[in-house]
Amino acid sequence: MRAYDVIIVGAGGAGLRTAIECARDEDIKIAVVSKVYPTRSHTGAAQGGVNAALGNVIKDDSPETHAYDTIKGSDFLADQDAVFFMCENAPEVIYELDRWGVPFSRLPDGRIAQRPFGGASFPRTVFSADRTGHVILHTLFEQALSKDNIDFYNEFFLIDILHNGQRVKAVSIYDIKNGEVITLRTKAVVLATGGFARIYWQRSTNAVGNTGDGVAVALRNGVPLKDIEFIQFHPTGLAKTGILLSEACRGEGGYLLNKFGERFMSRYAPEKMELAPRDMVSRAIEYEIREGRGIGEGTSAYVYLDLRHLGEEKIKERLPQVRQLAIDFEGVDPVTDLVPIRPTAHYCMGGIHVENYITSSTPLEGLYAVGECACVSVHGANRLGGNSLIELLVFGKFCGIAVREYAKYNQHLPLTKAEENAGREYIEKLMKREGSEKLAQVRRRLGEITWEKMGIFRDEKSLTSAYEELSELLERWENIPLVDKSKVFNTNLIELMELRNMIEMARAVAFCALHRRESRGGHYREDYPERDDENFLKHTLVKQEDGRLTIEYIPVRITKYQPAERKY
Amino acid sequence: MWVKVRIKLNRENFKDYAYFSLELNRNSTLLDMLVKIKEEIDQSLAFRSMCRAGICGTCAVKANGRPVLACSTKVLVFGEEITVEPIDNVLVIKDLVVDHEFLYNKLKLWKVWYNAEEEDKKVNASVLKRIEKSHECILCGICDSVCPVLTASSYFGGPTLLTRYYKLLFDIRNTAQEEKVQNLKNLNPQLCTHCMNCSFACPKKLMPEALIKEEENLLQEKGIIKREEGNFGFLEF
Repeated sequence: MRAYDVIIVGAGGAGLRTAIECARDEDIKIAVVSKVYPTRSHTGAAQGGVNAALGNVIKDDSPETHAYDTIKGSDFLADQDAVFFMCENAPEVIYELDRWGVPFSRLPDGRIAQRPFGGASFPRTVFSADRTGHVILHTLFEQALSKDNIDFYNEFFLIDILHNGQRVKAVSIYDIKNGEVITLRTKAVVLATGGFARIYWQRSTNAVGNTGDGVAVALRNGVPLKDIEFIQFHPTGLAKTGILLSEACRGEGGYLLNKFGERFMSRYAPEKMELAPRDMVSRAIEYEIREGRGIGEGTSAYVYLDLRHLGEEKIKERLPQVRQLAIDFEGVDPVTDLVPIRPTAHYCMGGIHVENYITSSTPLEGLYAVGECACVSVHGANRLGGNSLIELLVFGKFCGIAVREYAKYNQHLPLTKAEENAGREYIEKLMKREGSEKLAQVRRRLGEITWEKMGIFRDEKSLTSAYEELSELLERWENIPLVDKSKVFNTNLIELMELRNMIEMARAVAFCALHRRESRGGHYREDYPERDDENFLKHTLVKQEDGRLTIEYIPVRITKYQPAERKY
Repeated sequence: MWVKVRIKLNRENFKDYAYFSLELNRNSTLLDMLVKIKEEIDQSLAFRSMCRAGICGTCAVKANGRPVLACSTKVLVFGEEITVEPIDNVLVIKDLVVDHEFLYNKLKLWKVWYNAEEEDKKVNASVLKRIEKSHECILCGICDSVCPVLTASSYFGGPTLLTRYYKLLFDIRNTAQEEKVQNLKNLNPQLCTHCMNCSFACPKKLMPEALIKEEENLLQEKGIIKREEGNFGFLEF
């Protein structure tokens, strides 16, 4: 059986950044496992940019201001020590990327340019036109490729992590190309599998693969998840498809208009207007639609994004991809037309409970989590645009250092034959699966429940019903037949496994949302419309044991800024 | 609108076209069409997709002979009869899924990455402008699939590799710039016949042929290869 010192699952920005740092010690043998080729990962879809207080445009910016903006944006649920750690280390990881070749857009004097972004006090967002994630992902991939002590397992699906209750010892993975299950022994596992916002199946900016595989595996293994009730809805998804238009649209000066042509944000955030944080702007759009000031009705209603006043030159230079997406998927050209938009599920603030923000370790020894699948927590109840890329760069780097040192001083644990065979048996069972349900129907129902009952607005009734129906859906999943019985590139099987992960995650989200009886950041309860610091200034931890979910709470680490009202 | 679709399936026991007939709305992309077929008619159909927004490069297929990204191409442009096949000149794994390993192996073999120093170097806007396209490549493999030289000669680096290699030659932040220029001759950019297939096919409009031409010029300027060796021999006395 093959053995590694470190196995990293997920080859997006977080996984690759971790791998690069790990690989600096040439004696450490690393495997990077991913169900897609690394450059297909969803990091590549990040458009607008990455936050670091370089102070290149306005000198007064500082890591401390970056930290304050992040904490305020989080609705005071972020752990402040972790936020300061991220913001203080942010400039250096940007300069590293610059040395590795990322073509950041420049100021006339050659220094790295920065643009304004939602919830930020200064122009702080470093960017490469509007394809920042793409160039970062490809650059990180090239750097990882340069390390001879990294083996890539491309197109392998994570079945399970193996552990003895205290420490991890192996991963079980499925080779999509030939249908084989293999077990890789390891001293440490880093989960970097991304978010699960695809649980909103019909309306999400996420790639189809963002099904929360790593988070669901952690949940099934009794590892606690933190704050998963907080889902971010991005204000500017294309109306028809939910495809993302970057926050850079508003950062560069775009307006949001209702059907009367009013810049309605003046009602909700008179000072920051369109540049208020995402949770507020998304709710504002939904209010406008609800009050009949949107265009159209029901699920097909929308408002407009107006970029026309920016002029053709600026749109082509700063927002080329946005323009192309609007033309390709909505049939409008932002240079001359208004763009129909509506909020769309975008990001998971919560994830696998990280206990130590310097190492990214979880309660299970040898298991680490970085990127969107982790909850450090630096985003609290609402993430600021540009903070997801910086999170994965900073915490990926430091996790890489920690896990490399951990692997040096620990040994592999023994593995029983039964453990080794468990993954293969699971797949064999699925391959024989017969039943009367239809995969696509169950998946569509999942998307309806999540959007209607646990979306931007929620209450006791909708969440209870979501939880109950998702529990039923999980039973229905057991009755979905596997139609394709072949071993080579069986995407029917992959979709079946992904669907289980999504239903389990959605059910856990509903459960946590039901128990948080307040409104904070991305979690808005119509029956409890106010933030309740007395009872809920705390992190949710959810655990699953024998299929049952249990909740406990832990305190938020407040080191500097006392919670205050959030006005923009 | 109703469409008639012919998809080339490639499986152990079946290598032939399968026929489907289905209703789509006018805005549907090729990917929407494939998803609908998979969801409603044949769950065993294999194709790749990820971002749905033309940036991850995973869903290249050939539709009515033209290589395109399935997620960014409207069904409407092909009319009511569509033939979907895997892209050319690569190993087919199953149905529309082709081997992508070769793309990554090339990058590793030819060390397509920056060698960085621990000090910061200021790069100016004109250099960035120049290398922009090289950084925009999404590794979809389409340009290589239409390159006649690559099919005929293993000496030619091919448009994907040469497009991505370009940035290493002109960016001062890459400390191995000179070494890359020397290695460039082994990729033989001068073998390009400038047929422009790659530039017409590239879904990101990166014009690989133009970059290859510049690489050829660079080798000539540096005296590493000779200008139009022998081709114009008939002009000599």
